[in-house]
Amino acid sequence: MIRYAARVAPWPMLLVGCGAVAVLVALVGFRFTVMWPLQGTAVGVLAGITAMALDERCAALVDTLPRPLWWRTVGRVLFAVPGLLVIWVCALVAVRDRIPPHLGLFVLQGCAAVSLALSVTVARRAAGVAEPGAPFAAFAIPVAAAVALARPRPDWFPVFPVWPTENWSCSVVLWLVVAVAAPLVALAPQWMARLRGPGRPVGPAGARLPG
Amino acid sequence: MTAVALPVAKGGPVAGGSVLWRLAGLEVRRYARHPLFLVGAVGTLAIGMRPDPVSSTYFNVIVPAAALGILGLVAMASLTRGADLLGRSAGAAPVPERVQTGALALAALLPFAVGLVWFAWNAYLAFDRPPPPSGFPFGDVSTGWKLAVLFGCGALSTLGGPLLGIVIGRWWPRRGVAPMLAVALVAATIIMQGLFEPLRRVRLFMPFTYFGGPFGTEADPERVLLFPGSPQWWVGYLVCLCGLAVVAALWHDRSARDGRLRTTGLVLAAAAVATCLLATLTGLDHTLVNPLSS
Repeated sequence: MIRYAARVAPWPMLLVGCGAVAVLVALVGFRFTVMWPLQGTAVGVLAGITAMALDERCAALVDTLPRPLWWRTVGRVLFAVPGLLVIWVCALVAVRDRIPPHLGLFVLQGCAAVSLALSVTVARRAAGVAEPGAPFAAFAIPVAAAVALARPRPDWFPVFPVWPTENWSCSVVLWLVVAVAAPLVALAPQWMARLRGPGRPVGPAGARLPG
Repeated sequence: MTAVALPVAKGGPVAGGSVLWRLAGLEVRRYARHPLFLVGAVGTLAIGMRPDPVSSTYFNVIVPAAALGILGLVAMASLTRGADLLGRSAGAAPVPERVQTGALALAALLPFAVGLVWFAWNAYLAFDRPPPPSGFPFGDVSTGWKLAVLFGCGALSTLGGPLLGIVIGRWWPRRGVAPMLAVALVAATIIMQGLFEPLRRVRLFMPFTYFGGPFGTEADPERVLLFPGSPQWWVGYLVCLCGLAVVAALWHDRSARDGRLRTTGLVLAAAAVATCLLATLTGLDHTLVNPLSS
């Protein structure tokens, strides 16, 4: 598994992604009152890189091999997810004195973004889509950047709170819901299919989530 | 979509213009169905149309720039990359690349049309419910200055972002490139938006920047400032950049590299340099602090 994980991890993309996250958080720490939109942008980058790490360009071929999808999925996230989250947490800890005192929320945003990206791409991959990560990244990264820049209705939809007067506790609840609900909603059809019993494959051969 | 068989007139080749306009119609429909455009258009019309008590509608410019400009960049790069992949898969594309590029450039008029709707409504509100004397903008700035700020920062971003997306899709059609370049553009724009005093003079070469706002002084962190530069000339510079983006995208097709395109590119580049210099050297020559506290 380790050898497979080391071979299939998209190292150039992971290095670019980790570097981008580190630079964005460093810029946020440099002057938070100016650079705050980059914090939300970095959350989008985390989600996008996580999703793209799950793409299997040769899915039509490897789906026919004995290694099941769950094994290959674990292999693909083995380095990507811990690596991205370690960079995220370390970068935030390094600038914690220069950002609002809500380190827990910022860490939670990263974890929830990774959870959402994993849930959506695993579900799409299990449904037979070979490369669900690239379109997810192409959607998630710019949308996160746009939301961080434009901040639609921060009073009742505090996705990326910035100022002390904003509703930080509501943001915590929002991101907790995303982190927990995303895997449940995205993977529910797979589990329902399994509960219905064998003989009803979901997606192409080898694409089912095994028990 | 570019793979669709276009009807060929009997007895001769189809006129280039006819193919271009048919293809442009198809690309407009593809763009209109793209999730990023739908999210951006809804977001712009939902949250970018209300005045605020400090600046009326002048701070709304970030909404179309982000929702239709940044998202449009990625959406158009995706469409361009798709057309490129399709052409390569087919072996021989049914229409020349320059016609595809022209059609994609015409499709960029769709987000620009939404941007114009945004501009018309926000310009109306800005004059109907002007900002207070302590707000932004203040003093005796001209009507042209105000309209240029709204048009350049807001409406033109909705055209420039998608056109830049075509350039990225043509010259760097690799997955993940457009979103990461969008992130880089956002980071560069934030650094060059005028909040860092040493960069205020040179910020006008960026495709988005601010001309003032509640950026504060040491004594009053919410005090409204006006930044140096001429937004009217800056709008001219942005128009040149949009033209250069189309030329750069067309230049990717070797068969399109004729003398006319080269001349157009050179003229636009010279005009871009001239208008950028004029935007920097004319207009307000220093940062102006609102005498009224916020």
